[in-house]
Amino acid sequence: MTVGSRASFGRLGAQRRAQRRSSMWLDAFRRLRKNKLALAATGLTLGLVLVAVLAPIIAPYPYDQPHFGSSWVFPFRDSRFILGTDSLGRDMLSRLMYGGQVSLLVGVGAELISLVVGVPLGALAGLRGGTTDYVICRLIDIFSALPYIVVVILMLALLGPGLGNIFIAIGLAAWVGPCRLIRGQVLSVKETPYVRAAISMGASQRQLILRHLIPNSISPVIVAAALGIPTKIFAEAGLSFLGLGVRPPTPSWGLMLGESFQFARGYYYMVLFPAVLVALTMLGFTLMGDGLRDSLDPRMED
Amino acid sequence: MVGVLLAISVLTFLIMHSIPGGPFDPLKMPVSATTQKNLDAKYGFDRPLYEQYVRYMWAAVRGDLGVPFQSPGETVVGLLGRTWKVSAIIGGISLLIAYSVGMFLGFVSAVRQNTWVDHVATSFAVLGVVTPSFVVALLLILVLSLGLQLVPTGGWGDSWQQAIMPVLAFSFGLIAIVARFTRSSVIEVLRSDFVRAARAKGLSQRAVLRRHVLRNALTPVVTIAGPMFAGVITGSFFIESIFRIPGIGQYFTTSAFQRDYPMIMALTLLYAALITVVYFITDLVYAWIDPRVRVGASGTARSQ
Amino acid sequence: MAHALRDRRGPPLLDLIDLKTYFFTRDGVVRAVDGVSFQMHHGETLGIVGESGSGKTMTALSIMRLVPAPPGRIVGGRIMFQGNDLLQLREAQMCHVRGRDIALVFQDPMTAFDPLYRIGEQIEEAIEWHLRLDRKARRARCIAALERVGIPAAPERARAYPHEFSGGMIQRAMIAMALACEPKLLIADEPTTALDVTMEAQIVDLLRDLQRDTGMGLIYVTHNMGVVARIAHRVAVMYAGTLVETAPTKTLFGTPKHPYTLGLMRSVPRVDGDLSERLQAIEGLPPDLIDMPDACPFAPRCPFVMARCWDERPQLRMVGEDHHIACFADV
Repeated sequence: MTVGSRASFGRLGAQRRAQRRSSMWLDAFRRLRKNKLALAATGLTLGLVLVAVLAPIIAPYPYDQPHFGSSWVFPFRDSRFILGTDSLGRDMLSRLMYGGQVSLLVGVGAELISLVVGVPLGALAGLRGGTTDYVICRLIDIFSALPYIVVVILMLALLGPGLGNIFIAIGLAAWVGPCRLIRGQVLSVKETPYVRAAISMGASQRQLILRHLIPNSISPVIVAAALGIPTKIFAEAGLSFLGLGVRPPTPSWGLMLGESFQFARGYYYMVLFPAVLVALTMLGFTLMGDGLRDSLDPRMED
Repeated sequence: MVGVLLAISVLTFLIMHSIPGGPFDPLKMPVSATTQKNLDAKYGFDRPLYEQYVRYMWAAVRGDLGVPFQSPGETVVGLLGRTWKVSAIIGGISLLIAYSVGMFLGFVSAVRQNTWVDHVATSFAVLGVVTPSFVVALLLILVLSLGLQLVPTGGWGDSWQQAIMPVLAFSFGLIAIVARFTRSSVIEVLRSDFVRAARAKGLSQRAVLRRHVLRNALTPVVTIAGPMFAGVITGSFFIESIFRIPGIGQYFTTSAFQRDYPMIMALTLLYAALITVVYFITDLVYAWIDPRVRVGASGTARSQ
Repeated sequence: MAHALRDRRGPPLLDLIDLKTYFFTRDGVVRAVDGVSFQMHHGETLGIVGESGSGKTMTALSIMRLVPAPPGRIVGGRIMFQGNDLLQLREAQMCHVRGRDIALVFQDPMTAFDPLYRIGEQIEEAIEWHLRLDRKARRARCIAALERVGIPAAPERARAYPHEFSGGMIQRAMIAMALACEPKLLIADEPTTALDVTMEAQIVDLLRDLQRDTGMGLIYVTHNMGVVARIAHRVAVMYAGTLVETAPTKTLFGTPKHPYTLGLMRSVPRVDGDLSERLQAIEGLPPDLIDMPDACPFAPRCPFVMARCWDERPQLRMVGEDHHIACFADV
C-alpha cells in the first residue's frame, strides 16, 4: 500500500493552510467579517457618512431657511418638520444633516492634516536620525507638554474664526500622534533582520521605503487615523459649543448644542438630537477603529 | 525638562505678540493717541520684544506673574489661586472616583471575562470613552436636573450639591478610560506564564489574583494616571462652561481670545510645568514598582 | 545503571486511565489528549516524547488540572495518583496537591517567575503555602533548595530578581522552587528547550541526580530522543494526542515496533551511522487536530497502513515485556 492512496483525512489542515494563498489584507478582512460589533459600527458609520455627504440632496430644506410662523415646533407634531424646528423655525432634520457634514468634514479633514504633517516628519526623524531626529523630538516634547485642547485654542486664537481655520487648528494640533507612531515604526523596522539584510545588499533608500517601510507601517497608521477622527469631531463640537468654532448660520452639532443649551428645560429635543448624534458618530468611528485594529493584529486564534 | 518649559514660554510669548490685535484694540476701544501711548508705556508694550520677555521671566521666577488684563483688581497669581482651587476640587474628586470605580470595574470584568458582567461593564466603558464630556453633561442635565428635578443645574459656592453634576459628568468618561485600561491590562497579565506557574505551585486563583496579578497589572494603569491627573486637575473647559463653574478652564479660553497676555502665559506655563512634573513623578513611581526599570539597582551582573 | 530506588512491584505512583482533554473552539473540537493511559512508579523516570502538537504538554497540564479552561476541558478518564482520582477532587483540595505532591517545571523559566518579586520570595511563597514553617525555617529551606540545584552564593541570589538571572541559572531556580516542598512526582515540560546545549546537558544531569537522590517520580516531556535515552527508564511515544508506544528505554531504542517510532528512529542521525546514507524523513505532515475522525491518526503517513486503520482506532496491546503499541499491523 502506498502512502498516497488515501492522501489525507478530511482536513489535513497544516498542509492546506500552507498552500492557501493569503495576504495580510485577506486575513484581516476575514477576521473583520467575524467581528459582529465592528461590522455594525462600520455600518453605522458609513450610514452617517452617507447621510452627511448626501445632505444637499436629501435634506428637505436648506439649513438656514427660517419659517417664521413655525418656530419651536416639537418633533413628530408637524409633518413638514419631522424632527421639529428651532428658534428661527429652521428645520431640525436638515440642520442635523448639514451639521453632520460639518462634523465629518472637520473630523476627516483635520485627521488628514495631522497625517500629512505628522507622517513625513516622523518618517524623516526615524530615517535620518541624528540632528534631524533630535530637533523633531524636541518639537514633539514641546507640543506634548500641553493638552490637546489647549493647543487647539491657542492656534485658533492665532488664526481667527472660520471653518478653514478650525480645520487647520484641530488638525495641526494633533500632528504629534502620527509623527510619534511613524517614527517608532520606522525605528523598529530599521532594526529588523530583513531590512538590515536589504541594506547590506545595497538597497536604496527609496526601495527600502517603498518595499519595507510602507507596508509595515500602513496598518497602525490606518487604525490610528480611524481612532483619531472621534477626537477631532469632539474638538470641533466642543469648540463650536463654546462659540469658538464654526460661525452661525453654518450648522454644526456642537453649535446647535451651544445655542439651544439655554432652552433645554422647555425644548429638550434641540439638545437631545445633536448630543445623541455626536455620541453615535464618535461611537461608530471608535468601534470601527477598534475592529480594524483587532483584525489587522495577527493573532494566534487559529 | 526646564528646556521644554523655556521653549514653551518663548514660543507662546512670540505668538501672542505677533498676532494682530492687542488687549487694547483700537477698533474695539478707541482711545486718544496720548492715552494709547500712556497705556503702552504702563504695560511696557513700547519696549522691544526681547526686553519684554526677559522682564516677564525675571518677574515670573520671583513669583510675580503680573496682573490679568481682564481683571486688573487682582494679580494673576491671586486669580489663579482663586479659580484653580475650584477646578482642582472637581478634578480631584472626579479622579478619585474614576480610579476607584474604574479599577474595580476593569478588574472584575477581566476576571469574569466574557460573562454578562464583562459585557455590561465593557459596553458602559465604551459609551463612556466615546461620549464627549459635554454631551454627558447635557444629557445628565436633561435627565437629572430638569427631568427629575434632583439637583441644581449649576453655579458654585452655594451648596455642596452643586458639585454633584460636574463631578458626575467629568468622572463618567474618566471611569470608562480607567476601566478599559485596567481590564486589558489584567487580561494580559492573566495570560502570562507566571500566573500559570503560580497556580502550578498550588496557589489558589484568589491568591494569585491578589499577590501577582494586581501588582503586574498596575504598571500600565499608572502610566495613564499621570497625564490624566495633569489634564483633570486643570479642569475641563466644557464642564465649567456648562455648569457655570468659576474655574481656570473658562479663563483660559477668554484669555486666549481677549489677548490677556499675562493670563495666557501663566496658564500655558502652568499646564506645561504640571505635565512635566507629572511625567517625572510617573517615572519615579515606575522605578519603584518595577525592578526591571531600576538602573543598576542591585548591581549584580547576569552570572552563569 | 543503578535503578535501586525504582519500585515496580508496588502500586503505581501515577496511573492515567483513558485521559481525554478536548478543546472546544469555534472551528471545531480539538482532541488534544485522546484516550491516553500509562502507569508510573516511584523512583522511575518516564520520558514522554512526541512532536509539537502531539499532546504531550497538554497531558502534563491535565495531570495538574491546569488546562486553560474556557476552550479546554478534561472530558474523560481518571488520573489516579497514589490511589486517589485527582479528577474527583475539589479545586481547593487540588491546590494542596499542586506544588506539594506533584510539581511542574515549565519550558520557559524566565517567564515562569513574576518579574516584580525576588526569586527567594517566590520560592518561599510555595513553602509558605503548603508548609507551616516560621520565617527562619522557610528561609533556610529556600536556601537549601537553591544550593541543591547548584546555584552558588544562594543567599545573595535569592534576593535577586528574575531578570538578573541567566537562562541556565533561572531554570535551576525553577527546579529548586518545584522541589521546595519535596513532591512525590515532578513533571518537567521540555525544561531545556529554551537553553543552549551545554546548559541542557547540565540540567538533564541535575534532574537525573535529583531523581536518584530523592526517589521521586519524574516525567520528562521532550521531543529530543537523545535526552530521553540519557535520563529515562521508560518511554512513552505520543502522536496526535494518542499514545502509540510505551516501552523501557533500551527496548524502545533497540526494537521499536510502532511505525511512527520506527520512522522517528530512522530520521535521527546516529553517531555510528553511515555518513553517506540519507536521513529518512516520515512522509507527510502532522494532522490538523480539529475534528479528528475515529481512525488511527498515523494512517495517512504509515507505510504499513491497512484498511482497518481507517475505520477504527487501535488500542494499546502488548508486544513484548512491558512493551505496548497501538497498532493493528504486525511489524
